[in-house]
Order: sequence, then C-alpha cells, then structure tokens
Amino acid sequence: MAKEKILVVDDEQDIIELIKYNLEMEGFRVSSAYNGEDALRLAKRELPDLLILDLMLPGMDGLEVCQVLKKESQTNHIPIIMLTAKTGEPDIVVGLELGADDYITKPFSMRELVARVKAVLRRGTKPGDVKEKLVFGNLVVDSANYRVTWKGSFLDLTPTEFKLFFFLVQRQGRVMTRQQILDGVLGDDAFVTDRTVDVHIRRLRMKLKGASSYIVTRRGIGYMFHADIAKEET
Amino acid sequence: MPNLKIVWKLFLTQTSLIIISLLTIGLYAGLSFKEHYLIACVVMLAVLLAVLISLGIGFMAARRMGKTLTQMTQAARKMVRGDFSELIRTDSKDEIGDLARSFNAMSIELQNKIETLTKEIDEKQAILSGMIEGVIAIDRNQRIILFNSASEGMFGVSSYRALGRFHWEVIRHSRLNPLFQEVLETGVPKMEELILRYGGERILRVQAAAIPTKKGNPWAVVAVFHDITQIRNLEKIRKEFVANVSHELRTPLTSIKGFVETLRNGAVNDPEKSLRFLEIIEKHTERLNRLITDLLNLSQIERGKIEMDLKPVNLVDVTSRVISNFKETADQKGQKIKANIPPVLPHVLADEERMETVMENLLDNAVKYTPNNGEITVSAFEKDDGVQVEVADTGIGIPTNSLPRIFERFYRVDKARSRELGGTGLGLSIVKHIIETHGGKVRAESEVGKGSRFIFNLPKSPLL
Repeated sequence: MAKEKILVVDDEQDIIELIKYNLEMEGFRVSSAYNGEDALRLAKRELPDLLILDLMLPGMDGLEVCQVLKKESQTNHIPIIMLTAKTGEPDIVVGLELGADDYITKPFSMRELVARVKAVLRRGTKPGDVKEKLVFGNLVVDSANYRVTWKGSFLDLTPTEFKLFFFLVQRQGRVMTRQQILDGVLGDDAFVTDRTVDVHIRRLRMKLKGASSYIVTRRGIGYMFHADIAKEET
Repeated sequence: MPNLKIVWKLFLTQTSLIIISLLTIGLYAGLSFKEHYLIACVVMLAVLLAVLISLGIGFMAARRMGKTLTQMTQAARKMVRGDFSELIRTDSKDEIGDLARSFNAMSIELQNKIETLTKEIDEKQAILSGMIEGVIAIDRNQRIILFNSASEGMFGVSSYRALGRFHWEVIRHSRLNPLFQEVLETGVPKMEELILRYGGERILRVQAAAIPTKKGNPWAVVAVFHDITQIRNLEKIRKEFVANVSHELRTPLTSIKGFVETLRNGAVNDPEKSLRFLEIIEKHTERLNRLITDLLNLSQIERGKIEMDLKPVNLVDVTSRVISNFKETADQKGQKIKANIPPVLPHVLADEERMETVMENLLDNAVKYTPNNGEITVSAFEKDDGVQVEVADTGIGIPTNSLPRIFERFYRVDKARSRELGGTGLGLSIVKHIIETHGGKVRAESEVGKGSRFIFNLPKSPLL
C-alpha cells in the first residue's frame, strides 16, 4: 500500500473532505489547509510527497503558493496538481510554467483525480535521475542510441521528433505547455509558434503508431506523456 | 498713352512719304513750282485733316479700350482677393468687348466652381469634426496634414499645434509611430489596438490605410481611431460575471458529483459516512437551487422595466408582511425585530412583488449577520419627495474597505461564512437593481462589531 503524504488545499471544506476520504481509501496519508498561508506553512513543515492545490483561495492565492514553493530548494521538488473551477484560464498555463505538474478542473471525477495523483507520484521526485533506457510495457525509449522501440520494432523518428518525445517521456505525468515544449525542444528554430508544436506532435503520433496514445492532449494547454491511463482525456 | 505715340509716328511717316512722292511725280510731269506748292499744300492739308480725324477717332477708341482694360485689371485684382462681385460693363462689339464678356463669363464660372469646392470642403470639414472617431492624416514626409477635433480630445493636442509637424513630435506612442511608418512604407492597411495613457487609460482601435498616387506609391496615410474602452470594459465585466457564475455553479457541482461517485464506489456501505455524504449532497443541491433562482431574478430585473408590474404600492403593508415572515427565524435566535413605521405612508409606484424581494433580502441579511439576542429595526418615513426605508441591525458589521463593494455581484465580505449561511453573493445586487429600476437609491452604512444599516429611497407615486 502506498504511504505517500498528500497535502490538500481548498477553501471549500466539503471538497477537502471529499478528496481526503477518497485518497485515504487509496491508502494515502492526507493533511489539509483552507488557505494559502496555512498551505505554505504545512508544506514546509511536513514536506508532503504531493500537493493538491486549489487556485482560488482567500488571501494568498494558489498561484502565489505554487510560486513560493517552487522557488525554495526545500520544497521545489514537491509535485503540484492544481485544482480550478475555471477552464481554459491563463492561470493554468501560468501555474504549469511556474512548475506545477498537472491540473484538474472542477467538477472532476474522483477516479480521475486518483489516477492523476498516482501518475504524478510514479514519476519519482528525485531530480537528475536520468535513466538511459525507459521501459513502458511494449514501449522502450533508449536515450543513449536515440531509439524508440514499439513491440520489438524500431520506430523511425527524426532527431527533432526523438527530442520532443524524450522531452515528454522524461517529464511523464507532467503537463507541458506548448511554450515549455518550444523552449525545451524547438527553441533553436528561427520561426516557431505554438502551432508548430501541434504539427510536430501530430507527426510524432503518426510514427508512434500504437504507442501514440501515450501522448495525451490537454486541450488548449499542452501535452503530457502518460504511462498508464493513456486513453484518458479531459 | 502709348497709342497716341503710334498715331503721331504714323502721321509723320505718312506725310513725309506723300510729300516725297508728290515731289517726284511733279518733277516728272514738269509742273511749275507754284503748282507744285499748291498741290503739296492741298495734299498736306488733306492729310493733316485725315490724320486729325483718325487721331480723334483713335483717341476715343483708345480711351474706351483703356477704360475696359483698367476695369478688367481691377476686377482681376479683386478676384485674386476672392471678390467676384465686379463685372465689366461694356457694349462694344469689337475684340475688347468680346474679351470683356469672356472675362465676365470666366469670373462667374470661377465663382461657381470655387463656391462648390468651398462647400465640399466645408462639408468634409464638418463631417470630420463631427466624427466621434479621431482622424489623423500624414503626408509622405510624415508630417501631419489632417487632425480632426476628436483626435484633439484623444491625444490632448490642438490641431493648430499638430498640423505641419512630424507625427512623432505631436504624439509619442511606441506602437503608433511605427505603425504610421510601416503603412507609409508598405502601403498595406493595418489595424491595431492601442492603449493610450493620456487622461486615464483608454483603448483605441486604429485603422491606418495608405492613400496611393496614380503611380501606386503611397503619398499619405490616414488613420482612424475608435475609442473602444467602454466596449472592452463591458466585455470584461460580462466575462468576469460569466467566469464567476461558472465558478459558483461548479463548486457545489464538484461536491455533488464527487460524493455521489464516492458513495457508488463503496461508501454507501458505511451507514455513518453515507448519511453524512448525503447531507452534504443535499446542502449543495440547495445551494445550486438558490443560485439559479437568484441568477434568474437578476436577469429578469436586468431586462428592464417592461416586465415590471408597476402600481401604487403601500410600503406599510409590504414591510409589515415581510417582518412577520421573519418573526419565527428571529425568535429562534432570540432576536427582536422592531418596526418603526407610521400608520400611513405615501404610496410609491412599484412592483409589489419585487419590493417584497427587496425587504426579504435585507431582512434575511440582518437576521443572518446579527448574533443571537440582537436587535433589528425596520423604519419607514416620508422624506423629501418620496419614502425612505431603513433596515438596521446590531450585527457583525461590514469593514470599511468592503462597504463600497457589497452591492457587486458575487462580492462577499467573507466567502466561507457567506456559504455557511447559505448566501449566493447575489442578494444585495438584486436589491440594488430593483431599487434602481424603480428610480430609487440604496446605500449602506456600517461599523464593524456594532451593526449595519441599509437605506433606500423611492419616489412618491405620481398617481396619488
């Protein structure tokens, strides 16, 4: 059973109760905070393995909390899943660029939340831990040889496509905004726009064939590599 | 008089030629000197006479011609100054007469043309200065050639100061100046939105287009500025409202959906938990219901007076009725509701049902935010040209910095407390809307820890 500690921050008591009950049923330890200030204090004291953070909080809001936590070396490795009732808000993009890992919009399904939590936790929290060969069932990503194998056969990816794929694989369970992908993978190209990312992803997916469902689209925001709930979409 | 000189020269040449020819003929014919002399004298006299007569005629003609020409010169001078009133008077049928008549025709034609042109320019000027949109034109050298009065207001520069100067001297804007330059260079029309910080922040949409010469290269750029600040602000308010509504609806929905799912996933087998979760679901269902009712009310009121059932209303009845409705809730909290209402009040022209909504919302707040054993006072009296109603409580009060915002939709002093008490964040904004559609005014006074007072005024019904 998992014993990871999760801090849930929301100003709605009932929602905290809801998330807490469900996560505890999954074997997680859960603590909670109703505002940004308490969240910061608790995060620093308890150093949880994951933070579920509502963006709309009285006083110090979720984005500020995220910014502070990601700045401090003590807490910057704690993965953050943002909760928001506003879809398609620039807040989500800002949060992701501040270093949050994923987001989920209200109203959400508990199954979905639990799956996201597990995906983020699986990623491992130790930075700099780069493995040369990453294996996800039938999919093998070999960064030493720039090779991707799907069900035993090599996939013919261009260097850019490999870089893009590897970028997402390394950050599995994290939503990467188009801008982050641009900066991380295609930054050297002269004329790149957000749409360039979409084009590259589309081509990459075509070549990945059956493995293409590992790349999940987060509409209006960006993309993520998802190791198990590949089919899930919001 | 140059023509006199010509006549004199003609006369001299003619006479000398005649004398020479006569002398020559006489010499050949062998006439005597005496005969010679006689003929010469006769001829000379005749010539002299002829010359004098022609001189007289010439002089008269010249004088007439000179007069016409002087007139024409004077008229032309006046025309230069824009005075077309003078016409040349002539009845002669010669070339000078023709010239004078042509001159008159030209003058009239010119006058008409100039009048038409002036009228056109005046019309254009009137249109340009009457426009709400700012219009600025620059020439090829980037100097301003047109600056209408709306642009004067927008940029705070008089056209007198702007005309003839470079656009970057008159208006300094990091995006407008390059825009002018770009359109002038490329000739491609462009539209952009600018933020202007002259006299408060304003948003302008500028459309700039090049005016090409016949050869096709631009010789000027005309830019039209629309002030879209108000539209943008309304859009912003609307967007914020939609975002707020969506947030307010999603929050209870999240709890309902989440707990239903949790129950289905097994919690239903835990009797204690399932009862608690069902209670939460019920609470949020009620919250959703209240929210939707309030939103519908608000949108109905916003649709305006058309849907209001306006009749002379006796506020004494309305307030007494609403107070009695709240008696029970107040009693439970040990609160006292005092009614300070005279037996007779002037009627107000109002929608009775909506007036009840106003009183209900105000009393509901008063009861909610007043601790147990507190006191609520409802007063009504005639004031100025209408009726004033006050609902005062001894409740927790409203902080001074929140006071100006409490009538805003979804504004809550304390979100958590408001939700706990079942508030939607819309009550006071509904009150404000109703009072204002009735031509009245509402305001609030408060002191933290001492209590709040809500005051509204309504005009007297003109029918009674």
